[in-house]
Amino acid sequence: MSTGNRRVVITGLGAVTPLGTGVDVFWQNLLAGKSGVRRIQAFDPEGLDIQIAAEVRDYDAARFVKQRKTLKLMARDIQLAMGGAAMAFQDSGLNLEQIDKTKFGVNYGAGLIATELSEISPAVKVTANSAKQVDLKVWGKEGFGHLFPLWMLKYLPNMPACHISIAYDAQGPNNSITIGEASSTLAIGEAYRVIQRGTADLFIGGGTDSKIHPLSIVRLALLNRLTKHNDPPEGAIRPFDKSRDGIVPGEGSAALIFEELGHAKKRGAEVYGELLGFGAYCDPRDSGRSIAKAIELALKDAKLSPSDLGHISAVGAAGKQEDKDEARGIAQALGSAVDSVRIVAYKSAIGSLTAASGAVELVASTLALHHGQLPAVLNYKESEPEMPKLRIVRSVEDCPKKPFVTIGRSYSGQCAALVIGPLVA
Amino acid sequence: MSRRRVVITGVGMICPLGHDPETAWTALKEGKSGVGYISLFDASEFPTKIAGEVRGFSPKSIADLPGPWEDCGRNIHFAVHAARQAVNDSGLMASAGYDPDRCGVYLGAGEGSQDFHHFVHAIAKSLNAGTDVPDGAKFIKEGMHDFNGRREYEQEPGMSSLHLANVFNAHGPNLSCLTACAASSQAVGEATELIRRGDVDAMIAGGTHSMIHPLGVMGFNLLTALSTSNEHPTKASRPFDKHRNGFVIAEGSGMVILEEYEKAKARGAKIYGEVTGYGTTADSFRVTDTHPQGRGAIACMSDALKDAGLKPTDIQYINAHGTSTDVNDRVETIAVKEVWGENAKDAPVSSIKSMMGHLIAAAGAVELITCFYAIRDNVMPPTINYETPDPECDLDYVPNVAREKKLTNVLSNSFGFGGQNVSLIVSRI
Repeated sequence: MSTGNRRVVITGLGAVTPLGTGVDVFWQNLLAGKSGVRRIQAFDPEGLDIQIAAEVRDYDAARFVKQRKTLKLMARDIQLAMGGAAMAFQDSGLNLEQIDKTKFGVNYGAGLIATELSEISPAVKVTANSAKQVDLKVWGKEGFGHLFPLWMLKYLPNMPACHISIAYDAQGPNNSITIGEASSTLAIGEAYRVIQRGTADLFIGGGTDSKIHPLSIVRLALLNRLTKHNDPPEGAIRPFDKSRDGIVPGEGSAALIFEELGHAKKRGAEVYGELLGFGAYCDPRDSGRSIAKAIELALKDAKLSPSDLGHISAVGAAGKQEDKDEARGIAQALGSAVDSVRIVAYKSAIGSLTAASGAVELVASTLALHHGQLPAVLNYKESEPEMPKLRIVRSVEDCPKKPFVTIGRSYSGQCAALVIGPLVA
Repeated sequence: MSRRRVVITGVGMICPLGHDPETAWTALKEGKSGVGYISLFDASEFPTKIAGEVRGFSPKSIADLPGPWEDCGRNIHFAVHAARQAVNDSGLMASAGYDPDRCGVYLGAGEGSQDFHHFVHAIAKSLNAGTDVPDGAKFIKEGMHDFNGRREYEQEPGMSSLHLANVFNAHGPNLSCLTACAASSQAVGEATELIRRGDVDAMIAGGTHSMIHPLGVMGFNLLTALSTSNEHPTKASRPFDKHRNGFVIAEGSGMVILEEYEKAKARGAKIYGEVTGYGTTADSFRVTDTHPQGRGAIACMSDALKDAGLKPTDIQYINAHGTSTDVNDRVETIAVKEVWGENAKDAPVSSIKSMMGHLIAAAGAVELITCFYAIRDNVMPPTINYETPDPECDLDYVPNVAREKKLTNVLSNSFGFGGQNVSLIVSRI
């Protein structure tokens, strides 16, 4: 029941990933089958069960932040976000002087941002007793003076979107979605709807996250989600393969410029693709069904059928049960088209970027459509026999110039799907 | 084709003034304060020792529902408690023809609280000898030993909305946003849009949050955002008063059931009122400050009016964000005056944060529910502790005593730290 005829297109892409900063290098490395998974550099992982991660290397946020003094207000997640947004904005060719800033929104998927331990530790050092416990009386009396006064502002999940709105004077709707790994898919879906309904003409939509943090790694490890395949690092993430055993923590960000079609045409913007449909579903007791439903809803919204699709960008988390559920969901949604629709899983190369996953993977598939090639799913040999058979891309293939679906799913089962296609007049 | 209308058919609330909305509303009309000394942790040496705590609550109130709940934080307990009230109040899920696929959840939900003692203990144990520099790998080993994995996981802000989908059988779009103090208003606004568009027919929407824990209070204390009027807890939150000196942190949850009007009518649902207007903007000014002329606040109130097809003079009451900080209350006043012009004094403005404190992500939802009660009873809740007028805040703030007024359309503001602004308008059917 669409309420309007406003169409929404993608006119800019930006990404900061474990395979490089910038969409060109990201795409080249992805297509070349490179992996962004390496031994952890952020700290020495010797002796840990997990010694690998998909880290963003050699990233200098200062390149992307005009007001340098604001950098100290930005946790890693926010700094990563600034790069993605800056590159997407530049790629779009938008001119700030020529747009209605009240119709310019920001919507980001963001996670729980873990505080830098080194920011808290000076206060811990002076307040901990001989048993290394901290009494709150002592903490209140002596700890506060050792902490950064604006500490909290660095870690609020809405801050990536806030800083971006300030950098680009985006005065329209501004939201931050916090649904774990489904965050940025949901955020982009919402941006799509807001432009459709006419509240905005333009959005920077995306996601950002960094799980390369001791606290985040503890959280993932305690849930038993991390792979035991440390060696070689690039062989660790095995979506849909029968030897898969978990995820690798990652970090990154991506941004896309979404624009009402008429707005984009008027300024002669290059269009990467069109948003055609969005669906979200959550049956907490059956994530396979939730994925199927989200895909079906998105296809219905796009007025397409499964056989119209060229490929699906799967979640492909490489979790034992998660992938099995997902394969069932995808197979159910595709029906007989399951034999023809190609399946890609970018996490095999870039790890789990959590709240950024949906955005980074959407950028990857948009580039695939643009360049006409689909990157291989790394480390995939064969699925267990009981898993529904999917047409998984094992080596670089042509990307059909047809619509694709990208899926976001949180670990707890919230699902979303977007349909994007080439712009057809 | 006229757009689908969205009404409220159920409400639920747990807050410092009561464990259900009716109790809280009665206290609000009486001008009672829910602020007292912090009991949830030892804040005796913190700059701020007061808060609006939910007193006498135990997760036993939700023990019969499918959890498990023991590793969940208060934010989740509150959310489930309030959502159950809203669900029962609406009768939606028990009604014939209820379709779980056509009902989603959209919350402005806060994160859970970090397990402070285990967290700082693990940091203390992982410091490199003789330094204040922690070793990452050592911290991971300590954390693996000390932390409760389930508890860590339940801190994720998206967990509240997940639990509601599970407990109340709502399988539609499941979202959670965290735009600081604007979050639950934004959630209600976007949930309304989902129903208007026809993606769903109903939503559980609202917010939940508790930041009354060591790192939460510490964070706001470091920002000097909290009142430190510890001597008189009930006097500390004093929006628009000349001697205001910061907000009082509070906790709780507010939940509503939003339904498409024709469907609600067809099933004979009790209807509290309609969500008629939604405006959402960004200041895009500074992460540390509100725009000094209230640019974003002006725009979002204007957008909400436009969305509702109303003029400023159609609004009989404004439920303010009114945090009791110097800047918010001054700028909110400027913004109201800008939008209402010479009629500004005819639209009384009050802040229930004067009584409850600031529920952060949950504030907007609790205030929205208050607006429906205000319309029902034709009563505007007061701004208590309004003693000394501030020349820069010169509107009618419904000082200290609730006031009767015929109410048809009411506007509620929520402004988030970092610059997100939301205005909602609710109307009598």
